[in-house]
Amino acid sequence: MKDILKPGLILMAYGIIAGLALGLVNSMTAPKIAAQEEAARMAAIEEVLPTATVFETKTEGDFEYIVGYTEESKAEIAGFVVTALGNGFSSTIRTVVGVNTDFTVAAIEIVYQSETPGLGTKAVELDDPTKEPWFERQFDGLPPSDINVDKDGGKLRSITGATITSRAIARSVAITVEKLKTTVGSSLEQEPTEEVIDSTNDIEIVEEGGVE
Amino acid sequence: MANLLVISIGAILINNFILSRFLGLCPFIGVSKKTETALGMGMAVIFVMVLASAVTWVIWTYLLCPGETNLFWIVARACGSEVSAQAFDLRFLETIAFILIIASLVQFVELVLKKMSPALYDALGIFLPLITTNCAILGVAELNTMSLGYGFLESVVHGFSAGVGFLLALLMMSGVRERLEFAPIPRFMRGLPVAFITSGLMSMAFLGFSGLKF
Amino acid sequence: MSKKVSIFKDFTKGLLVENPTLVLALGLCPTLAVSSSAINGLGMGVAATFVLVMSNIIVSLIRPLVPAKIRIPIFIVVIATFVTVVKLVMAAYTPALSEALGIFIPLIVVNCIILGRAEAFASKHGVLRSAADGLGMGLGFSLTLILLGSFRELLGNGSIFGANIMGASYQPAIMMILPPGAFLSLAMMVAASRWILEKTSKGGNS
Repeated sequence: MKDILKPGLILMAYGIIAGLALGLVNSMTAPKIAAQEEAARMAAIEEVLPTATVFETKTEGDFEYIVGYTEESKAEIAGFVVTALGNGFSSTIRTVVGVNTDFTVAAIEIVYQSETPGLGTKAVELDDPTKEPWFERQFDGLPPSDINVDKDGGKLRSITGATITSRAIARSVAITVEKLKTTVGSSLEQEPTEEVIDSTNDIEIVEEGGVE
Repeated sequence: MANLLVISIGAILINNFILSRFLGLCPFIGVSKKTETALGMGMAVIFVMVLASAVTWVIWTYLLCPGETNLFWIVARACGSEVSAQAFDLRFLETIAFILIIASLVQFVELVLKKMSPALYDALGIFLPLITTNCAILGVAELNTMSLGYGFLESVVHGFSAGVGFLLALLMMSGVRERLEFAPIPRFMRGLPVAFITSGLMSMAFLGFSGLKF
Repeated sequence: MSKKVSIFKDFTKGLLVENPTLVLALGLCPTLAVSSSAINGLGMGVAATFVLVMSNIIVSLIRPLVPAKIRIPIFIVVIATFVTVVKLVMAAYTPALSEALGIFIPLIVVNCIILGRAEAFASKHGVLRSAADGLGMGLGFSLTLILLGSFRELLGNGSIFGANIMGASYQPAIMMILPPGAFLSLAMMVAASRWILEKTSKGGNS
């Protein structure tokens, strides 16, 4: 019994020291990592919906989307930004999708993936200045019904040797845009009228004040 | 069910651990000289992979991940503390926890096999110590939890299929290498280089599976 | 004087004569997986070298405190700790590289080079020599990765470190950055290193 207990305790002591040291390092790097992710997310959102200047996050049930407005007053909606999650080859791929008001894709940007280096990672060639990010650019202007890889009868050319990655991105984008369409579609038609009523009310109050 | 089948075929053929994910190459090159040892190693890997997938998933979900299922949080709640569910984020300990789990699992399997089934121990025993440092095992654990976010059943199926894919590649390789012994090969290419060329050709053949449609 | 020579020797042997990848055939998984471009190779090389040097130093320092029976688990704990440090630091400061290398960063733990050096060298030698050994082995590993990465990137993408070399008219051989290309390139490199070793050590016993 003692033969097992003593080495076990020693090993545990090493484990605790290692755990504490890592806790320390983690507490130093965690805010930095979170800040990096947030900055990357914001940059991606602005990238995929360049016409918008003000963004507002909204949630409908467990579905989260961002509405982009053309100006500070939030009078005109420029489009939407949603995040699509797709199960790729060796990671869950996160794609930020900019959507126009007619629910075609404005632009997409893949913000997180850890697919096979050199294969699936070909989807993200934005970092490489010599290459056009052709895979991402293919999505521009497509309605959700056309977003599918060519092997499945869609309009997208998939990445050589990385069909799973291509398909995962395409499917997740199509599904998420569809979902946005059903969630926002109805309220979009009502929203402008509501705002018109609101603004007329405002004006009326001002006018009344003026009359008095 | 269909999803499990896709995971399984994916791990065996399309994303074969050795030929397309590059996991577990050291044993692949090291013990593929004879079909008999390849079979033993492959079986031992399948066995440990399934166990490791299950155990690491449980540890990951109930101890390391923050959220409603975190045991530390449940205990803290039971003690009346009002901490948020996100407070117990121990995900940074994942690598060290997983490798220790795998190492102890291998030790444990070795002990149990020795006691319960000496015949099986004779067949698989010598391969077990090598498995701790087989990156396919840690790889499957990392993929299940960190990268792919599988559920319990999916993780176990993925672990089993990855092991089968490993065995398949190992068997094919050993079959080729047994015949290569007698082939006239340029001096500098003998041994390691020709083994790599063989794997390259096999990997090329397996690329064809990426056209499989589901 | 003789001590200086031996430290220098501990350092240089890892570069070619005992190159961990080409000669000892260790650490093959990351070598093949991340060598699809030169920059990935460099990143993995730096990460592995850091872990190798640090774990060699610590293992050599705690030598007297490690019971022989459980030395391997303790070495693994030490290595896993430094790997996690690298993982966290990379995620914080070089997120793009950290994403490109993916699960191969945590998998440095099971890179046989590192445990191999801890067991075969650092647990038997002093701190200085262990550090030199770790640095040499790490550089040998990095050099192999960068060479292999440059070769595959050049043929498969027409560039090295992202800079276009082959010109616009070059049709890249995508096969080179796909898995088969990794195996074929490494086969050529191992054969070439053997040829060089034999040429340079003519008359000696190789």
